[in-house]
Amino acid sequence: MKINKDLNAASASAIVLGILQTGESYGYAIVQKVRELSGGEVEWTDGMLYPILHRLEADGLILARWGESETGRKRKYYQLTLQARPVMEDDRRQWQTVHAILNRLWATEASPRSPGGAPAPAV
Amino acid sequence: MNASPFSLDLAGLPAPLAAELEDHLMESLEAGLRSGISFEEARQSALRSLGEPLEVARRCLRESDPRKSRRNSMTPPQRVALVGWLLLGIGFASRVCAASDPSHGSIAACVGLSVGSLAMALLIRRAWIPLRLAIGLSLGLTGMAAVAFLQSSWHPWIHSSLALTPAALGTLALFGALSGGALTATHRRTA
Repeated sequence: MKINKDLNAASASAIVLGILQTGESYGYAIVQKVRELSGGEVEWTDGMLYPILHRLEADGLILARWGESETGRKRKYYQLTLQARPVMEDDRRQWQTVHAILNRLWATEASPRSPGGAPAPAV
Repeated sequence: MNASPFSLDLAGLPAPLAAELEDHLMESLEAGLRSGISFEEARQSALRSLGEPLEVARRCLRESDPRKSRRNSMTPPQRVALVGWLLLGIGFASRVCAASDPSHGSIAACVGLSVGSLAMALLIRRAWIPLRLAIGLSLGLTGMAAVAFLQSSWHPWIHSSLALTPAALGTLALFGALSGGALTATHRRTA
């Protein structure tokens, strides 16, 4: 099962911020981390990440600095700013709310129903 | 210095963006080489994974645009109120600046308003431009009222040239300060 495009787009910022919570990182490593965390279920095109990083930077939620890779190449590293914390907390609450709603709906749907439509009483 | 295998693909992009995408493509290419595919296959695979560099750059630039920043999200009533406040401020400023009998006081007040507005508008970075102007205008009005108060203590005729009583100037200063504070608070809340 692959995560669909809309859900990918909606969750991308929260995922990037969550990854950067563990320390500074750069584009390629972030994409690899997403693949690793999702077991390959989340398929981001590499190019999808950079506009997100640039938007988060413009929003002041992440800060970029230029450094060098192990091979001496120029590399742009990103890290969270203090402003990101409340935004991440807010994101977390929103995703948990959506998660709880869907869980309740699907739990109701999965439980056996009486012919009248009401869920069967627990035995 | 060795030319990057992606130089041509990244030609024409802004230098910082090209450097960032080149680092990504090189990492991807090196991973491909480690997996055992040929150099050209790894190069093509890296480009396919990234997508068209020009399109990626275009989206990056669009997303970096401060006018698209999430910080600037305002509800429609807030936008209407903001535009109304801007029009009111501009109308008032034009009345002061176009006084039929310009005096030192009215000119100083006009300069105070303009400088205060522009300075604040420039200082508030990454905000929606009308919001910056409105906050600047509010604080400019406060500055103008302060200048007029100071001037009036030396030149009592300031009242007639501005056609405003000290009470009106006080109200103006308070209104400017409060609306500037409210607009700034809105700006922070939507961050």
